[in-house]
Amino acid sequence: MRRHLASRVFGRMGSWGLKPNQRLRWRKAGVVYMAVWIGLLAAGLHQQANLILLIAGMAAGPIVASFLVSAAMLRKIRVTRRGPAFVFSGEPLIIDYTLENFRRSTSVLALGVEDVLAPVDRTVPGGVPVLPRLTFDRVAPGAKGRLRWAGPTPNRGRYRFTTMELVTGSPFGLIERRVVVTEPSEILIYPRIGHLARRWNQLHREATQTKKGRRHDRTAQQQEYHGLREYRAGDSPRWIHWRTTARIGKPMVKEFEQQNDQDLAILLDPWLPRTKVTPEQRETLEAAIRFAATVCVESCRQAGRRILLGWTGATPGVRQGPASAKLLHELLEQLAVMRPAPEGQMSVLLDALPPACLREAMLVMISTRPVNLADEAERSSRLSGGASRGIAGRVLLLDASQGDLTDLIHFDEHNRIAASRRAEVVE
Amino acid sequence: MNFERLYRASMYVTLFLATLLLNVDASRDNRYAMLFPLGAAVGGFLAFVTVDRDPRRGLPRDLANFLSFVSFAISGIVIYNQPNLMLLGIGHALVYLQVIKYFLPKTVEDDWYLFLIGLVEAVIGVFISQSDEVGLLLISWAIASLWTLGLFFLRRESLRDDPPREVTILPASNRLDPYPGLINLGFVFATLRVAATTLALGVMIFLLMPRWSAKAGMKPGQSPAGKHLTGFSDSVTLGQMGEILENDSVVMSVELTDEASRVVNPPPDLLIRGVTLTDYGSQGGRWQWSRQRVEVMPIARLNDSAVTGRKELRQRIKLEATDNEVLFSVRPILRAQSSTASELAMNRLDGTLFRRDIREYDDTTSPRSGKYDYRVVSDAGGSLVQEFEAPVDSNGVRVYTHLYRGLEAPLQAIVDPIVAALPTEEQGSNLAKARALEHFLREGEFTYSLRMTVVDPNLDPVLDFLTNRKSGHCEYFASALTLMCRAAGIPARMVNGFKGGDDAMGHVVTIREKHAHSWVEALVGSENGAPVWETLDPTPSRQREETVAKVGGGSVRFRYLGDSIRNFWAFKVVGYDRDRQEQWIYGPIRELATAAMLGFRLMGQMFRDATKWLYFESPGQFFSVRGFLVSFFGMLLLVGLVRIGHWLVNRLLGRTRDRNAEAEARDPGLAFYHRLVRILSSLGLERPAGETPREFARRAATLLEDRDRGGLGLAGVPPMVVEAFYSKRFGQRELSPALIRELEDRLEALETDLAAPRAG
Repeated sequence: MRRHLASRVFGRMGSWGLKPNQRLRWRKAGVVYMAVWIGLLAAGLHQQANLILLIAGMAAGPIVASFLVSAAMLRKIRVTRRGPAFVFSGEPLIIDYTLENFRRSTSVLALGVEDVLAPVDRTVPGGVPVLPRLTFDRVAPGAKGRLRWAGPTPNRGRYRFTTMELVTGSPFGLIERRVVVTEPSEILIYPRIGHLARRWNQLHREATQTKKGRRHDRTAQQQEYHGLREYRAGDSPRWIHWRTTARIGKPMVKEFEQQNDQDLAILLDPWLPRTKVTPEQRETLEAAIRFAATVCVESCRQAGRRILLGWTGATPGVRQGPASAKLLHELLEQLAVMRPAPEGQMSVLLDALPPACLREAMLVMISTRPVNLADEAERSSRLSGGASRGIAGRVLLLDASQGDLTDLIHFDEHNRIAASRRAEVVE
Repeated sequence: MNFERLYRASMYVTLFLATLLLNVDASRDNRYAMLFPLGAAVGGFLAFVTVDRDPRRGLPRDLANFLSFVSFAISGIVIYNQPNLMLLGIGHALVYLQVIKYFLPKTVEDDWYLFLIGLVEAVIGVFISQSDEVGLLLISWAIASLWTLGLFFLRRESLRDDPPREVTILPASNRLDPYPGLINLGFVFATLRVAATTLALGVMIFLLMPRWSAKAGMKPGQSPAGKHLTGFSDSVTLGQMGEILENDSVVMSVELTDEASRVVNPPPDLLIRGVTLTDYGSQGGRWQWSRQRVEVMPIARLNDSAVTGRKELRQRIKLEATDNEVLFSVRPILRAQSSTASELAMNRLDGTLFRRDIREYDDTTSPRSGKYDYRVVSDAGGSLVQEFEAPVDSNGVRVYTHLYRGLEAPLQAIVDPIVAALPTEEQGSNLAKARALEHFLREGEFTYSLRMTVVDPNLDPVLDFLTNRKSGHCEYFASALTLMCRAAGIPARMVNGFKGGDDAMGHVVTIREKHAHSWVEALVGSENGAPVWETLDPTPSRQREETVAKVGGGSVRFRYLGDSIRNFWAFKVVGYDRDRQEQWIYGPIRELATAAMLGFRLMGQMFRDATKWLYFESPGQFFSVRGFLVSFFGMLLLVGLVRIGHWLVNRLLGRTRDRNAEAEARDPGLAFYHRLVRILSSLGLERPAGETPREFARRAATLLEDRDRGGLGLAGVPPMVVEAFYSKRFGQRELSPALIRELEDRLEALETDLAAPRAG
């Protein structure tokens, strides 16, 4: 028993000395307290007055006890964090913290948690760290305390929880002890999603019509009806299956199997000048990315269609596949971490596209600078000559710097629609 | 009661205790002193039910400022009129401020101020008084302060800033009761544990603080008002002592040690001498201390280091408040010293010890009466000679044998038969005669009683005792023997003092008024010119002890407990000085250190002996079983030590490395370098500690050249990144955003290329 006690005591003493994840810091109250204590001690020693020395001795107790008790307060507890794997920018970021108190008799009191969610790539514009701060007032012994932190989501990007610090000033608030808990995890902040306006549908329809006036895609009536589902915001009222809706008391819509829909290629040119970037230019880039993300979300809802996302840069990149939730996540992730590119041409990107895409897909080119399709086609090795004429009617060229996107998308103030989109993505 | 109410109530109780601490012993100087704690308590209660419930019911700030100004003015006037009460006046000014602050809506800063006011009040309280009541209050205040300080911390935490408007934390904290269910058994135990730890640490610090004064104790003028101690004044009427014999109040505490500062248990018949009474008045029943017969003789000061070679009984005496100058000690006295600057003195003519600061005051100044600490060294070797006492001259003999006219004949009639009964050879010896007279009273038909009855009021009370009543307390016995000695021609005097005491702490005797006693000193000869006074105690001991034991009633255990606490406070806390510190702390530590040194020396010797076994006179001796064992275990030990040292260094360096790495990782200017390291790490390329980043980059470039079939220039990425890292990390240059973006682009390209599946 004695050996056990001794090993515990010396073990603790050793661990205090060699514990790299704990820090002690004097609080302002502690500094003032210390100054008063020194004054008392000096008076007691100078006067050789025992009772003043006794008061000074007893007043020293809280200082020393702060070192011991604060360490005890951080023992036998565990704080865990649970955050979403992804969240859309503009939606509230919700992180759940759970404190488990494994102690048998003592509560956890006034324990602070300071977390840091920092952007992994700081070259993404607007990526600022998020610093959740919260305090568990009291967690009874053997119990769990839960707190939910909900705050604004930062700009798009990949964010990483670096370190989480548990902070206690127990028992007197003179000294603060911090312990660093390493619990790495990442959150992807997808670009903000908006509504595509009627103008977009119009442009989209025009771009998908053939020279003979026939449309490449089929209308809803031409699609094969294969089931029913609940109404979601944004669904056309024409898809509502009234009989079923009346029977079950909530709106239900018909689901269609889309067949032979025209493939869609979203080509993004995230160009920004190498130097002297203005805030307006940055905002233009963000608007282009938001628009691309919204188109991706809308397009991926229609199964059976192939979606491609390409972007310019030093090394142009392409992601493609049949419309699905998995592809949507890939595309949104790519857009989330998309960095501005001071170099790169649309022509190089066109060369990197699969031949089938160039041949048949509708091309939505979104750029942050004026782009001349003829010039780009001229520069492209694959579209030189007569090949470029074939795609001219399938290209929708949008220059974000000229405000081309303004009429095509709008954002709900309270993100109601975005929330419904998010629900789809989660499903 | 919710948390906020609990905290407020605790705060008011703590401040009330501080106010009480300030005023508990101040009533002798200010008759209204006890109104201050009362006011603090009432003020706290009213604030609790008014302003603390509804801050709108607090005092307006302007009115509070005005009241503060008025209170300062009042305190200033009091201090001006009574400059000797300046500290108390300052303390009372703080109480005014405290009560005014009660009635203001309180912020955290206000609570800190209240704490500070309480602390200053406590410090002033212990500075002006160190009685055991103050000690009890001090401990109570300290515990209450710890409790309140803990709650105050929780309150401060509950008042933390709200999160920004756009942030929500659910469930939201309840500001009024943020810690529901806080007070439970676990919290109480935890608080007690913290309090015990805190107090224990406090006591340890108190004990270890250096002391350079050997006179810890009361400071002059700090003690409370004295009280009259019956039976020890200049004039004592027979029977008066009966009053105090039935009183259980404490008079003093005496700690006994020997010449080597070892604890001494009190002797069974410990007689602590007080006043000498010489004149028995003709009005009958009245003893007087003759003020005409005073020759003041300063007593030699203590010098503890002096070695006298005599057997000593050292007494450290804490005398309770008394307005009498008489001091008490065991006779004969060798040296004595007060804890204050005042000198002790002795009346050379009668051996009475007294304090000069009271004796010499005049009517214009208030007497320095009250509690008093002093130390006396007495001879414990059986000597009867008091060193400073004057020889008894003819005038002295006349005084010590004086009997008023009506008393001589009746006493003679009693004494003569007793003396005549002695053997002839002893009839000329004063000692033998005195012993015979003592025996007559002690073993005869006389009984001990505290009942005061008079059989014949026309007779002298002593004669009435001797002839009719034959029952009385020690004063009658001692008076009777003194007068009988005088009738027999033996110079004699009566002494009032104390006999025995309650022995609660072994070596500390608590002496109460009921232990008061009278006895007789008879002059039986001289030694080197000094008088030899034989102590005679005619009172029947057993009967007296039985009577004393009955006085006080109540539980003896509780009384002993009270004595223990009082004595502990007086001797161990207030009386803690350099000597005690040396005796309790540093002496044992020094002894321990000496013993440890001795142990280490022995171990060293053993080690040296052992190393002889390791000593090889020639290299050839290594090639033996001994050589093998020595080298094997030596190398094993060396390897172990190196491993432990390596681990320790890594552990300690890891602490700073981790912090540096953490700081660097957060620095956006260096993030690209860490990204490169991460990317290369995924390739299995790690930078060993001995390789510089530049060398690492070159190695990585070589590897990447082999991989870079597409000619993307990936091999140039690591050197480029590392050069930028060097200029930022070591050159302290800020990198342009354009360069950072370029680096990130190239790293992105590198990462993409490495992540892509490779043909073949």
